[in-house]
Amino acid sequence: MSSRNPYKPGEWINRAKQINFSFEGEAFIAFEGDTISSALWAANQKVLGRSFKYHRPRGVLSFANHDVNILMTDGLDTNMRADVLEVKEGMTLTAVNTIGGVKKDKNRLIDLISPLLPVGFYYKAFHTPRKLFPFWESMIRKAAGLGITNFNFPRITKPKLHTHCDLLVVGAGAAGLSAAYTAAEAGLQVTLVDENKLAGGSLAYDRGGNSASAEHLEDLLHKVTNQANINLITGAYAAGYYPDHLIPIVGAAGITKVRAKVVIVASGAFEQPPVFRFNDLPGVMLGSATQRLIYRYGVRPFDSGIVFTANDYGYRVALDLYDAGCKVLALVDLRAGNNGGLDAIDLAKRGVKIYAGHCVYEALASTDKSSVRGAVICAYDDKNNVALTDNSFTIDCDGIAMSAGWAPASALLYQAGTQMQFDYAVQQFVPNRLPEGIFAAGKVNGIFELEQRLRDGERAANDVLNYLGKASENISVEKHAGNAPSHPYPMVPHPKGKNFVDFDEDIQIKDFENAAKEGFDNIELMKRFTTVGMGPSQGKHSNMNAIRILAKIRGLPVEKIGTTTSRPFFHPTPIGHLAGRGFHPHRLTSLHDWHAANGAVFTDIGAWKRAAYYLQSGQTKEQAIQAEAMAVRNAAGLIDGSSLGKVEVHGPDAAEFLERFFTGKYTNQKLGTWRYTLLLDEAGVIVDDGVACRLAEDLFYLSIGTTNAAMVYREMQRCQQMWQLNIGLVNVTGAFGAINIAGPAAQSILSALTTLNLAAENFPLGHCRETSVANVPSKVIRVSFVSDMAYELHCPMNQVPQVWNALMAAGKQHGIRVFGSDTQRLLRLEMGHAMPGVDTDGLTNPFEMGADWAVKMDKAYFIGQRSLTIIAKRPVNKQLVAFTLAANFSSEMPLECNLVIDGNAINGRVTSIGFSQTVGKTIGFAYVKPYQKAIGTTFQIRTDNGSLVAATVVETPFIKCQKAA
Amino acid sequence: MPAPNHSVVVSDVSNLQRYGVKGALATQWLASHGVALPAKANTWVLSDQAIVMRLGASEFLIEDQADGQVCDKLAADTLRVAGVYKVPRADAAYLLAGSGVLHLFAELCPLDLRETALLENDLVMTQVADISATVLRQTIDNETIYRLWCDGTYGAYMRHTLAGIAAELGGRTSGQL
Repeated sequence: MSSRNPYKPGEWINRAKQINFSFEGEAFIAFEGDTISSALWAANQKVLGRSFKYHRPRGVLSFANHDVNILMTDGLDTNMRADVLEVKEGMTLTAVNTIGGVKKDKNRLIDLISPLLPVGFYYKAFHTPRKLFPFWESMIRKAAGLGITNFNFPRITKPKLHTHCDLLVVGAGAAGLSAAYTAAEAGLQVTLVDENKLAGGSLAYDRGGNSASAEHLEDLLHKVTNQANINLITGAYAAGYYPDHLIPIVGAAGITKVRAKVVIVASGAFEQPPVFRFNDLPGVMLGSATQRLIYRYGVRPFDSGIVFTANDYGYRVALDLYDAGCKVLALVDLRAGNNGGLDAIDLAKRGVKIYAGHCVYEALASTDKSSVRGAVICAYDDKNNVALTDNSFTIDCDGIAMSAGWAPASALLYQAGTQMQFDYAVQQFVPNRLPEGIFAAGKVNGIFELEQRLRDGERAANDVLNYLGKASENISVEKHAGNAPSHPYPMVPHPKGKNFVDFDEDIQIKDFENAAKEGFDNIELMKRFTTVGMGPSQGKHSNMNAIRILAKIRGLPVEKIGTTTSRPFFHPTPIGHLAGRGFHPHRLTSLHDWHAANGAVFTDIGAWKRAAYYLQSGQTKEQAIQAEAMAVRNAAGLIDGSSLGKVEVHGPDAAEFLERFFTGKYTNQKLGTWRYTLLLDEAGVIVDDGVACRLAEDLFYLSIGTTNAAMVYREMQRCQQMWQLNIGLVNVTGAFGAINIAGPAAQSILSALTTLNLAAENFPLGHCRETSVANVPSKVIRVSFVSDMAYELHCPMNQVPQVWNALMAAGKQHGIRVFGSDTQRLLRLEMGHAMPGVDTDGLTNPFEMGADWAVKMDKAYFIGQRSLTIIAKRPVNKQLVAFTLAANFSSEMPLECNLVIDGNAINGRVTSIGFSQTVGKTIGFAYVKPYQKAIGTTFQIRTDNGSLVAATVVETPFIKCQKAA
Repeated sequence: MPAPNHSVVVSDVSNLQRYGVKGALATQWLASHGVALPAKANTWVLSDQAIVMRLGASEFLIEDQADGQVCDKLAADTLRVAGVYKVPRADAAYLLAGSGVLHLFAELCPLDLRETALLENDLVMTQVADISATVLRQTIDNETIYRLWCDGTYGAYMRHTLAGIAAELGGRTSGQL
């Protein structure tokens, strides 16, 4: 049997095209444009999912993108929202969160023991005995969460786009359409976004038995779609607010980051359910959900039902249900007296019985609990919140439409910093003070009457024009008069409970009462204890009722309770959307292709792709590194150091700048020499090191670490802004490349390519020159980082290959070999050089690393000096030492970050370690306690498998000096 | 969302000559060499077949166009002059044209690069594909094109990124000009 009504204009389905799909193994037919829920409901499939906690059967509730008990999987994707996702040909769907299917879910038994499982039970139940905790943890983890992650989900690139507009209007309902059109007519570039498939908001379904809203919709849509400067985006939601009016719009294909000069939030309001026993049965749904089923999808929500309302909106719902062919057996109004205005008269004319001052005391379930079979009605004392059950009676029905009020969709307003206030005239939080450039219109602004909503949109657009300095009309909008659209307390108490407030987490009224009794009586604490609003619907149908309940419990007005914090993204968003396309910027040296062609295995260092080592046929990584290291020790090695940071400091104050920036002294540095540079932060923590070559009185050339280069240069610029010295900073990191040639044969090889006399007496360690190498203008720096016989050559990046190839050719007879950054780390370890970032952490000061010699405390100022002065007065807490392991140690090889242990105490950690073929031992650096720093002291390192390995403190360098070959 | 079948042509023009200079006296020094200068920072002008970009109050990047020789002349003249500091340039440079170019930028750059926002002689230093880049808009033979510069060591990455998105939009990449 189908619940599909005859065609009506404005529906969203194409009846000419049928779609075949299956749900829980059963075949169904839909129309093109149907959502999964509408198609199933049309086929009288009432149980569409199971609730998260008690696994109760659930059907349509809101039909507005927060029916989170109706999440589906098609085997590939999961947690697909059936209430809004269009059904596609061939879909094979099952509900998530069941064992054995939605009808015979084995977990439904949990509902029977639900009294034993109140909110917070697991906080208290499973911590003792401790030995059982792993068992309970495993159980809870299995029960937690919805859906099963498919780790084979295809990687789909979802671009993140940036767009710009004058005005972004969020929400294309009556107020939003009106605002967008008014602003566009005045010449603004407008982006109008709505989460629904089609624009119109409630104009498309809230008809109240007449055609006024449909006519307004037709008129507005015609105007908006003919306005070239309106970019209408549907099927996408504004997910959050970020400073400077940056709003991510999430659509099916990805995220568009819209930056607008001005924003109008016309996002409407979420309908709120009245709370009564068994208000969660399939067939009990919000009034607006019934209207959406009727007018968007031509589906009759039920055959004979009642409307339970606590506001005048329920009367409109009843009229729409009547027009859709439903038998409306009664309208039950929580409020006493005459309400509903002309709609009540219209209903009476149609023979609908109105029970004012009554409530639905409970909904009655069919035998298999899969649907509604009736409702128990009784009188209700609205003032005292008491159901008067003495004369209760039952109405047999197969559906209940419920309306109790609204909660503004004000997430973006809150995130933007809007100050809200509670307006008793509408029983709703409304904007009191809006931030700069943010405007609100329509229901979210507390304006409910249709003509006034249209006018409020126009008013907001004119306010925008005024804000942008354009002439505009001053429009006033009438404040709401008459019955409030929301009831102040639509909760029907019932001694047996199961009157649900939050359908995501199966939270009942008594759960709030219990939470308050336990002291969780602040809205933020109550949220976390009860988990209200923490499910996938994020409180869209529950937060407002939760606030009202807490207000009643505490005897406070609603505004004293306040609201919970709204954070972006306000609606659950797929991780793939957040990830987006994924940019992975990387820098290549001019030798990259050479490295790749010669067996390099690359590693990422900072943004750079560096050759870590070069694999030759049949070699392991360790063998390759040892062979490269031995080439440096016995002949010569060549490494591409182009990733090093390089900065020129020009100007008369260049030396003064360095004196302030680094810990050393530079004003007395001789031309043609280099000095070590050590950079600290203001706390005295080591940041980076390098060398400063003095090429002229007013020119220093700095070589700094690869990883920190960009940060160090930024810090230089920042300092110069403060110090205002007469200098010029030029970052030449990308413009210049660098090569390091090291080993006993390095001098001989390099001598063949340059006119510079490299003899030790002419060009000793610590010197630098500008010269040419292989006919390329180069800076030659005599260094000793990986070998005490080494030269760093800096030349234009595009000419590095020329120098490299010449060195390889000249070094061939000496047995030259290239080496990578992994080998470099071993070589510098052999030399006893600690590296910032490797042998330091975010707290290490120079005294702990043993770099006291590089810190000239007698200078007038340098960055971090003040902190070091204080630190120097305190005992050192840890000390970096060089160590070796016994040559014959047989335990597991210790690794970097393995702990230094003394009894039960953690004394430090290993920072660098490796086997040195030259030394014949495993060597390394580690932090130890100062009492362990003396040469010859033995300390213990705990390896990953828990064994202890003895290490002995030794002097550096680990290797003897190498002489030039 | 990106509209399909938009034409985007990405041309690699990294091989054009460039010259950079900064320092308190850079403005006077360039003027003394007959280079027409933009009046304010973040703007550019054409000068004797070269694009002269003012990157800051006293920092300039000059790029020769097809037959220009401005950069070579300036490079030959520059010595270590106090207050005039040569900035060695090793940029990767691209020329982007076609009806889909703004779609391409929409995915790569947070700034508004439409004609209404980026005026004819404006220059922006921004992030493109998550790296620092300089962008300007130019009209050549009534066609709007965009020029983009980034550090040359990012060149392969930028080229790959531009070409990938251009291809998705239905465009293509040409080689060196």
